[in-house]
Amino acid sequence: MHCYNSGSTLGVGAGHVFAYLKILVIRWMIRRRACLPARLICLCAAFGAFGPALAQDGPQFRSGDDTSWAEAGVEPGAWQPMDVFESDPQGVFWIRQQIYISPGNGWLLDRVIIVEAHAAYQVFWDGRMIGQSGRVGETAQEESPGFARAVFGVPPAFMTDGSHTLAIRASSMNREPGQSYFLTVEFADAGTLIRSERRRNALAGAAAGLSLLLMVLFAYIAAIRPVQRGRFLLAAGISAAALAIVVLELATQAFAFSYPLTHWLERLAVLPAVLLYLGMPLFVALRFELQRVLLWPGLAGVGLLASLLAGQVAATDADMIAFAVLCLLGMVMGLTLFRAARRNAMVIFGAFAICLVAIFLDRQNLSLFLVAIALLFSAELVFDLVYQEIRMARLSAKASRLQVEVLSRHIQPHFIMNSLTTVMELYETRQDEAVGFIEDLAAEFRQFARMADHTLVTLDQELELCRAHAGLMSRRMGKDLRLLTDVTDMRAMLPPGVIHTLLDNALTHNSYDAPEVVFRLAQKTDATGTVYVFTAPLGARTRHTAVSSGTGTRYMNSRLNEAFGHQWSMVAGPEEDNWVTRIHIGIRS
Amino acid sequence: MTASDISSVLIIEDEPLIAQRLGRMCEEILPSGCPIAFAPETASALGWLNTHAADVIFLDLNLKGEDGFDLIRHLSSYAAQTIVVSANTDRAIEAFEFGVVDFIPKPFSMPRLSAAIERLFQASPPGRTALKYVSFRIAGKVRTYRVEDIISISADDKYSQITMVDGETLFHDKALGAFEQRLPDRFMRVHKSHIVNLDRISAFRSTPGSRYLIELEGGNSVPVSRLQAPVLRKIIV
Repeated sequence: MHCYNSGSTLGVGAGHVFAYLKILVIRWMIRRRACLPARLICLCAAFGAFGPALAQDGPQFRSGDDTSWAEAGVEPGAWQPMDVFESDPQGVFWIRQQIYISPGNGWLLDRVIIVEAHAAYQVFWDGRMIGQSGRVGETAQEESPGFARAVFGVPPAFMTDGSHTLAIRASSMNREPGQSYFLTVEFADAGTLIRSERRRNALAGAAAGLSLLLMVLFAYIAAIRPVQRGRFLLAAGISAAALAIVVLELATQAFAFSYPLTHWLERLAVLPAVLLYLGMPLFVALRFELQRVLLWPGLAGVGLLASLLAGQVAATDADMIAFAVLCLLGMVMGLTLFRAARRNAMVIFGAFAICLVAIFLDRQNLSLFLVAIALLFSAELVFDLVYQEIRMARLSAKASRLQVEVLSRHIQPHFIMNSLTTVMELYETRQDEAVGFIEDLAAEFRQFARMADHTLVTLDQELELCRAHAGLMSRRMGKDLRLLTDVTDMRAMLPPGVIHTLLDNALTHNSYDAPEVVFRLAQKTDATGTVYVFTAPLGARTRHTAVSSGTGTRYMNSRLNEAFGHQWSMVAGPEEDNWVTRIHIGIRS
Repeated sequence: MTASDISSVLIIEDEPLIAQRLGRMCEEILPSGCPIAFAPETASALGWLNTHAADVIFLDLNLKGEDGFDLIRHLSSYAAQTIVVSANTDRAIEAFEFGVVDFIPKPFSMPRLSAAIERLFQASPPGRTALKYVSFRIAGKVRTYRVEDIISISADDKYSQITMVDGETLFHDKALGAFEQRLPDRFMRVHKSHIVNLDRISAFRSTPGSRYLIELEGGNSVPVSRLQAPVLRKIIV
């Protein structure tokens, strides 16, 4: 197996492109077979920048041990380029790199060398040791593990103009089973490093605080709000995963860990990293109610496995591939939502697109980008929740108006005045019928008064109201109006007056010549919910062109919205000699 | 003309008991034997009117969800006078603008219906909204004009001939007297056969033989009766 090395190449080649970044001058990276999920949170990649110093040639590797190898020019032919470096070195090995300080620039800033390694190591500058971490040894017993990360200052006196040799003497004999061999070396100025790390820690601290806040908030919402509880629990889980990752990230920055211990820290991060990786597509799919919810986390899982495989087969940076796959999947979800004209679809697309760009901008902090989009989604959910609450408040206010509307629909002039005129006529011509008519009228009003302040009533109550209305209208119209039902669940809940409105609309818009008119209501329940099918015969000379947009239909829309949100639909149209209205009410989450 | 002169009634009402009530009361108010026809909706009403003549139409504005004002517009092109019987009184003014004689709110009693029939033969009471639109049936379609665009109305047998500002002359089924009762104040019956729009008079002059004549916009002249001449002269001067 060969290690790969892109650090020094980028360090020189991209230096001019990133001329404004004065953090890093050279960086080596040697690693293989890192645990991918763990590496999702410790993504490191070669990164180069302009500075007064430039890496010359590529870094070189040599097995064995001789302190004279720290000197420049010693046995140049015995060193190998890093890209043919044997990846699992036994015993002591060396890596060195020529650094060129341009004239007049050496004194400008305090220089430091940052080493991140799963090794014990000593750092040499022009043959002189400037620091060490742990004790380098030929065997596990001889070696005392170094810290996974250490910073060494370069004495200003060493920073003379011209060419210098940076050498690392290292051993990595105490790796835990499965732990990667890992070494990066960065050369930077101290001030920039400190500022960079402060920024990073401030961001991580803020992310940790926000994650904690959102985790508590979502857990609380899930506890008190039965509606969409699963969604909020998932959001709380994602926030918890983000928090765990950020805390581990902060811990590695705040404390010095020997490199075998970092293996277990990485292992600790596997679960939250996988949860975050699979949870985000699942969360988006649930949040926006995409069809085939499990498809998206499934695709993410396949992407993760493929990335791992690609990392093994092509010896490429598997975690970066996995990150890119996740971003692309997220963008596809964003586009899918956009096509479905869903609100905030472009937020999803944009968040993943920015993260994809981040691969090229700041590979060191990809984990924080992941956390950032997780938090962004959480924040979006919070905003949505606030939006829903505002909407509910509006609906609540509207509900009051609707209650009044239920009654006013039946004390509207046309209904009440025509009824009174009918009473007068019956009183003057057939007094016994007048009494019966008044009783029917009272029964209908009584039923309405009972239902008016309810958001939902049972189908049984609704049908009682409909039959009272059919009886009353039968007297007024001089016809036998009947409502036949085929229902299985009389306890099913409906907004008050919905079926009644369908019946009333049919009577208002149809001119029936026949002495007997039969309306039908069927109730069908399946896995998707309940369908109510109301069938009204079309009268002679009836004009129906589409679903009515009159007050009756608006009333039904408002009531159904109030009761079921967007989990309902209504279609209506002529079928043979009937006008058929289908109301589908989905299963409530 | 009085109630006894009414020879035919059409009741347009979709509720049988209310239609029955109107019919029953009309039978009591109108001369015995006066035919009363019933139509439950617009199509049958217009179908009946195409083959029969009615003196009075009782109209419910809310017919099976149809806009009753389309029907009022249509009915105003016929000779019959229209009385609206409706629960919805908030559009009464609009109805009067189309020449409706009265607007009876539901529920109604015999005296109220009787008073409405009396009004058929009276001028509009002061303050009542005057006729604002007039409709004509032309080539099978109903066209509506603004009353202020009328220059003059002349009797043509039992019908009327109306001259408009654009020079067009149209015939209407209504008699001159029916118009006179509903027109705004700026219209005046200057002769037993002529009503003119005072705002459209160009000149007033006397001719040999103590005859009077007014010239109207568009060049037409209309005779003025001796009785109305001094009144008209005073108004114009």
